[in-house]
Amino acid sequence: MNGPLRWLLATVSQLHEETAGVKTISFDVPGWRGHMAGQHVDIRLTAEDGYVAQRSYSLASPAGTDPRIQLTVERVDDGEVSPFLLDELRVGDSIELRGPIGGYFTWSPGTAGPLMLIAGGSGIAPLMSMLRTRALASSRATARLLYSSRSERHIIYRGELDRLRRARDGFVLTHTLTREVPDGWTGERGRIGRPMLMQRGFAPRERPHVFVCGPTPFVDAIADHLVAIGHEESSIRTERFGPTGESK
Amino acid sequence: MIEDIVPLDGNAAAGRLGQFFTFDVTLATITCGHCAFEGPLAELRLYGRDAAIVLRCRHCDAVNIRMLEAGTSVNLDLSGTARITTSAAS
Amino acid sequence: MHITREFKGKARPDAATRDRLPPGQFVTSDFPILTAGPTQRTGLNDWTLSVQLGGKLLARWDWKEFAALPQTEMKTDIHCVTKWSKLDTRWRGVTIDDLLQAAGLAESPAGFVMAHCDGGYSTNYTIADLIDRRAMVATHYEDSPLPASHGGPARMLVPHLYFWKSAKWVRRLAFKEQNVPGFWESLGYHLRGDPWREQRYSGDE
Repeated sequence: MNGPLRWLLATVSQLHEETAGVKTISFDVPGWRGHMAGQHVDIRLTAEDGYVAQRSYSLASPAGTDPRIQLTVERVDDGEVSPFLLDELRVGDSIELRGPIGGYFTWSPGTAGPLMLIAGGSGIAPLMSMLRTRALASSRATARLLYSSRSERHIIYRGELDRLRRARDGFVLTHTLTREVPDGWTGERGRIGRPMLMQRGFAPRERPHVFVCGPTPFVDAIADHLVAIGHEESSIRTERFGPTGESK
Repeated sequence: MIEDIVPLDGNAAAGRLGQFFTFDVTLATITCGHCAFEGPLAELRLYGRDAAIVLRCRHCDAVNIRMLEAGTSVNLDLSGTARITTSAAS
Repeated sequence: MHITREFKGKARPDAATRDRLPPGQFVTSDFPILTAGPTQRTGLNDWTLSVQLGGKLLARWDWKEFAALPQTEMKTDIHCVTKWSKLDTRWRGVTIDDLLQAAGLAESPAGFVMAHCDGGYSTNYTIADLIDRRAMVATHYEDSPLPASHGGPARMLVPHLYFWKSAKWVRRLAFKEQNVPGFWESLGYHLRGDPWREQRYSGDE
């Protein structure tokens, strides 16, 4: 993973709508050197008039050397890049991509200890890579995900998360909805706070590896709560996205 | 109108900063030159935009690292960092 | 570099607009930003603006005194070094000419000025770039007092230069005998920053 990263040409192989404002884009990337769960890439778009835009997106696909990778992109209103990726990009198009980046926010199946994942909105993407990696490795590490979404229809990867939960391999899933809660909802409601972290997460004495990802205010608040309820700062890894997920 | 500035963190600058380092920059420990707070570079507060990066101490907000992709050169300013620590190569 | 099919970024100007854009710029209706740190919030009761030469204080105004100085309105285009330009922005404030006069200075005591701002930001100018109604200390944008996120209570407005020179949260103008680089200039942005000569970086002519 050392040494400078080159810009690679990534070709779109599939576009999948996850929710109304969110798509997963699959790319074939010849020369991909492989990645760990939690890492991200920079992408670069160049217009004909020379205008260049560069953004960072987390890898949603599981760890490994498969040159087909996936990014999950959420629409930023009036954004420069996400509307293009969601509305204009076609199968067969190519963009420039550089990665994998970042060893700080990573988890590997060989890691001992429970895995505690806390996601806000599109912050679920790198944590999904961790859960997919865990499933593929048939890892015995117990894992808990607290996933905060605005409403049911905003939940990304809902079906796959339900399948992972039904596998009964030590993975516990908690959804919370912060804006619209439907009748008959059996999950949590409201923002993630200390009670929910204590009831639905691992206790500090279980010494979990904690990963928090989402918009900056969400991550900052959760990190403060975690420390306040006794988790070691060094066991908490954070990654902050832009207001609705686009990382600049 | 513009909204309040909400910073990202060092993770988002890692790709660009990687031009200067042979090791994983997100894992480096940064000692703040102003208050001596130590923490991962990944947790520094990221201001700036794209090619103009400002990374500030999470504890005291002092500027620790600045980087600019300035056309034909790339400039790195570490004057606000007292120390960078990374694991010895294995 | 690989051209991405159909990628256009945000806005593409019509011909009339293009004439108003310096080289390499694109037009936006959003406010272009280039941040260096968190939003500064100084209350009006605590706010002062000082003018100094070396260690000597030449003048200082509190908010009430400053608001009583002659007001000027300016409508102008602004050009950010990030390549985004916003057209027809309206501001109100005190021109640097009026500020110097209020400070009792018939002419500038030195050739260069450094603006110092809350939060530690700084930027440098030649005095020629500040006088003759080219620049002001602005307190209002589009008829409303500048919010903190916009640089309020007061910011520099020097629209004929790249917008990083229009420093937010200005508190002190220090006259200098030399053109000392400010925050972005010392990192590699151009010492002067004329968008019409595309002076973005320190190597540029």
